[in-house]
Amino acid sequence: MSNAPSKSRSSAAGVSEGPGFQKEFRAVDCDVHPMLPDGTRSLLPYIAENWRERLASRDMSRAKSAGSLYTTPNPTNRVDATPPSGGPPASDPAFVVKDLLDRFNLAGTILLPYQAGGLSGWADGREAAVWAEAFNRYFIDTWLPVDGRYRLAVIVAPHDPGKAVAEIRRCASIPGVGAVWLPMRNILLGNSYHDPIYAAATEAGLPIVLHTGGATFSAPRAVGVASTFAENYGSLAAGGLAINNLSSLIFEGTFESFPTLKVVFIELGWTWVGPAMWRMDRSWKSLRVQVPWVKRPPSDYVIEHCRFTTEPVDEPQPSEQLLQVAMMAHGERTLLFSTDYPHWDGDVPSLVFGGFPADLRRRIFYENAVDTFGDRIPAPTAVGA
Amino acid sequence: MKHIIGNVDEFPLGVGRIVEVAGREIGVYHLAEGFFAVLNICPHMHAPVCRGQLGGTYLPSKPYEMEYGLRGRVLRCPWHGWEFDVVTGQSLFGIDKRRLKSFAVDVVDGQVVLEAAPIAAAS
Repeated sequence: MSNAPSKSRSSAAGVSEGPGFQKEFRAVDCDVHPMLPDGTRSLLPYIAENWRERLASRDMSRAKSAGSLYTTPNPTNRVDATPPSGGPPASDPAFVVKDLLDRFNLAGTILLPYQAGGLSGWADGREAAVWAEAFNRYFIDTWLPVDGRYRLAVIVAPHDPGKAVAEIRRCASIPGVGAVWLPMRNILLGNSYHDPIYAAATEAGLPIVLHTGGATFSAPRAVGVASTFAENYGSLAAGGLAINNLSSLIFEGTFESFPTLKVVFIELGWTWVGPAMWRMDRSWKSLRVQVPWVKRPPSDYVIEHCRFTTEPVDEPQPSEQLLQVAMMAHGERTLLFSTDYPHWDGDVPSLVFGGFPADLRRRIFYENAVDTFGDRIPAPTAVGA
Repeated sequence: MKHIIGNVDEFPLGVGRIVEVAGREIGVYHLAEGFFAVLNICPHMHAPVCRGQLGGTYLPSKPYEMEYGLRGRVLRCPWHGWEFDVVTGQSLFGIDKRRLKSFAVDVVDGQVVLEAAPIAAAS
């Protein structure tokens, strides 16, 4: 979710669309947030006994304390997503099947347990690694068996790349694991500090996913300092850490070092992607000499390696401009549909991109996800086929 | 049309010099590879490109391997830093399709002779 208030919008019309949505193909939802039904108590069985005493005091409000810098006029979770069985929204995997996957006839979802994301702001990397592993074990155990369309982004603690690599390798071959969630901290993502994590992820054939939240709520520049002037110049002043990190990945040569790496920017916006590519290309033309390992125009790397989820979709006026912005971002390759279920600012699949050409809709709603997550996404099944 | 622009010893090796021929400013370069001449207008934003630095550049490489090459033949525009190979006139490493306008230049009997009509931008 984003903490920024926004005008309220009734989603009742979209939700009532029912399973008739998407006649021509089934959509993949690349940002869904499952919750623990009972906070830390739900996790304790998945934490080694000698760590339980220490982590028991980590309640969920503190787990996301980095995001608690602000009060919010809207509750994080949609009240209508509360399961009939009780508990928080999206804490009952069977109800999420009914309320989201079946309602919109989705082909698959990427699950990111949002409560875990705050660990990147913790000081103790050992605690963070234990916490990450507990979340992964919980959702692998309790969610993945419920529906074959669930795919979990396993979270790793970025504090210690060695521990992150071990967790990636532990999870890589578990059916239903679909991505590696690398929470952003205070080191730009192109920095070679992260290379062991990228090596392990590419070896496992898992994309890296980034999500807003965690340490990303920290002060501007807390993401670190660019290594080169080219990198700094290549990042737009507005738009913040996603642009900084995109520029870092490009100008540090990460995609030259890891030619099969995919990085998915989740809930970090996308209408800035076109202008960011123009700016980075301009930087490269003038300053390539400083980053000679950047062998192609930066936009080439973005289109090949980087993906951006769509929620929350910006709403320009006139609305026709949205298509132009999507084309600037090369949305036919780079955009992945997402709902952000069960969060308050989510997009309803039947209500977004209605004015887009059918080919582009198919790319955004389905085919780009398959290109990104590969056989980690359930096999394509045409509706009615 | 051919123009004699000076004696060969007025063009030291490795140094560029801007001459005015038929109303055009043209940079003339005496390199190890021979004599080369390019119009003093950058195809990007029309900067006086020949007032930029002549040298080498970092070649495409793996991250931080730092391979330096093309010594003495890379002209770096003083405005936006676009790099051109003086020998071919082309932008380096595919940064852009636009290229420097090249002129034929030769040494005849110790004199540097420049063909003022622009040669076709052959690839």
